[in-house]
Amino acid sequence: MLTCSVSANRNGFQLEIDFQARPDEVVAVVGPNGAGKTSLLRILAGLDAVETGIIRVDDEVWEDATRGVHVGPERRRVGYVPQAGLLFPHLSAVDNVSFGLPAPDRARATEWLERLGLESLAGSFPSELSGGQAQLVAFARALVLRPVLLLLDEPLASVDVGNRASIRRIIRRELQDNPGYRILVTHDPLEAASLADRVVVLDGGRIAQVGSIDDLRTHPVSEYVAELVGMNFYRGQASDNTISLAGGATLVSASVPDGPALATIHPRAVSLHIERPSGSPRNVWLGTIAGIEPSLDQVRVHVTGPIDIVAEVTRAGAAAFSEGGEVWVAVKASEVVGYPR
Amino acid sequence: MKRLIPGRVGALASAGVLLLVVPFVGLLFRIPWTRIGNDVADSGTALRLSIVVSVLATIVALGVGVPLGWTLARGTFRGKALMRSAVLLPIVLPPVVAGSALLASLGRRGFLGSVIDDAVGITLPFTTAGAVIAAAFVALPFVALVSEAGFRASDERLEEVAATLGAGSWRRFRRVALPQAAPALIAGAALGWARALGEFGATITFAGNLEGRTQTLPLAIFFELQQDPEAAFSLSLILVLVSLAVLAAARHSWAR
Repeated sequence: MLTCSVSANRNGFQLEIDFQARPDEVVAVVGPNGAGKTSLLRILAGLDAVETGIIRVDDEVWEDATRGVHVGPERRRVGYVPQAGLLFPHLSAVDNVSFGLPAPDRARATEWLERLGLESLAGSFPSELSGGQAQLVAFARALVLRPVLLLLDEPLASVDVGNRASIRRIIRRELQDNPGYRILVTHDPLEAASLADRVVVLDGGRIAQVGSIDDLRTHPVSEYVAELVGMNFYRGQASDNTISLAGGATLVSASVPDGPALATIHPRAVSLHIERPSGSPRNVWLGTIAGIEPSLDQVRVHVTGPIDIVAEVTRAGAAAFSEGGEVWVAVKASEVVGYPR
Repeated sequence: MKRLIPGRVGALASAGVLLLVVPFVGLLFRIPWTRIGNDVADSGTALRLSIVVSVLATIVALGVGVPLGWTLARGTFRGKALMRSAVLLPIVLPPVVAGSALLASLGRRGFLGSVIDDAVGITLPFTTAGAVIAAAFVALPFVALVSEAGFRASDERLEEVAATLGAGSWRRFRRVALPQAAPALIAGAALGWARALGEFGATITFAGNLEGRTQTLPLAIFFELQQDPEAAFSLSLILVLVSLAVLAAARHSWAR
């Protein structure tokens, strides 16, 4: 078990982190820029000091502020892959990979380059590599040492879009194939969903929520987490499967325990109509379109009204709507996921 | 785009160039071209000594100046400002003062010199080793400051990555910091060497003017001026050419 329970101050920014990781899972730390993700990785790598707290990995104590224990980065056996890879510019790819080996061992370094599909680039210098290639060489440089703890900082941020899917597949495969503690940092929930088993959401230097990406989607505990995973999120008081929201409006859910409650609605479960819909939906109200945000094949429509909500509709479906226009919103009770606060 | 130089700026800049170039033109007029070969041959000892002393001084200055530069660039400790002042001092100090200080401390009756004398029976003043120390003293600030700038400009995070890969501090310095700063280190070495080669005041004060032991080329030129100015001009030309060669060699590593 890896235990990290630390508080640190970096240039006035306060970080308060307490979480555990198991050796059989990949953990993603997700949060906006400035949430403290990179600071957390640097602390785990031993590059930055903590004010208080401990870091323990299996039976080794890496950090124990009260007893003055700080194991230096060179003795932690971490595999730190910083953002953009940060290869040594004066060394070729193969020499970068073998840098950490106790004796120069190009054969073993080459093996790892082959494994990541980079054998043809062994002699290339970092300035000759693409962002994705550099990222993978940096990954190989960390993996060749069989680290106890693997730390990836935004592994896809410096990879151009065209190569992202293939690089992500390789990173995913290596994360699965290399047992041990594996922690990656990303601002992108989709990346977390594709690479990690469990997600730690960081906001303003603190942990907002921990769980699988499904947990976060269906049961976010804060507006911030809901926003991150792209869900509509409401707080209210539940009674008889009806949630009364702060503004006076109500949402009917298929099933929600009485008492303080939270509720989510998937944007795709929201339907929009020009005419008042007839039929079964239990939640129907008239709203005003505040914004229309097209993406590749979907359009996100922001509707204000008694209940503010975001609906995801097809491009064709969105053609009927315009900003400032009125629209009927309908949500089935079975799509309102209610849970106790 | 070709940028237009304002007339007054151009005129003043030209005056500056003239100030720098005219003395060398004057020098060329006075050089006895017919016997320059003989003059140079006669001063072979001083030239050789100059090269030996300046190269040794550069090695000494690099050996301590590069780590000093790294410490100034990366270190966080009390007294760093004081340390930088100490490094700058030899640049602003008149060399003759530097020589006096060396004499006062490392001379036979200096507090350190007397200890060394008693312990191993070596006296530094008026020896080649003394000339090397005087030259290293004045070259060191250039090596330290230029390498500090080099370390400052190179990415500290690379040294951090090296640490996470298991490299201890010495290995990080040697395998990551040094190669990163290499162009600056070469420039620093060139500047330091040029300064050591031209060293006069500290050398003559601390090491004296003993032919074959401490009389380097600049000292030889100075004393030749009083007896045979033409010969002095010939030797000056050699130093000008050597300096130009150093400039040309180091140019691409620090000039843009």
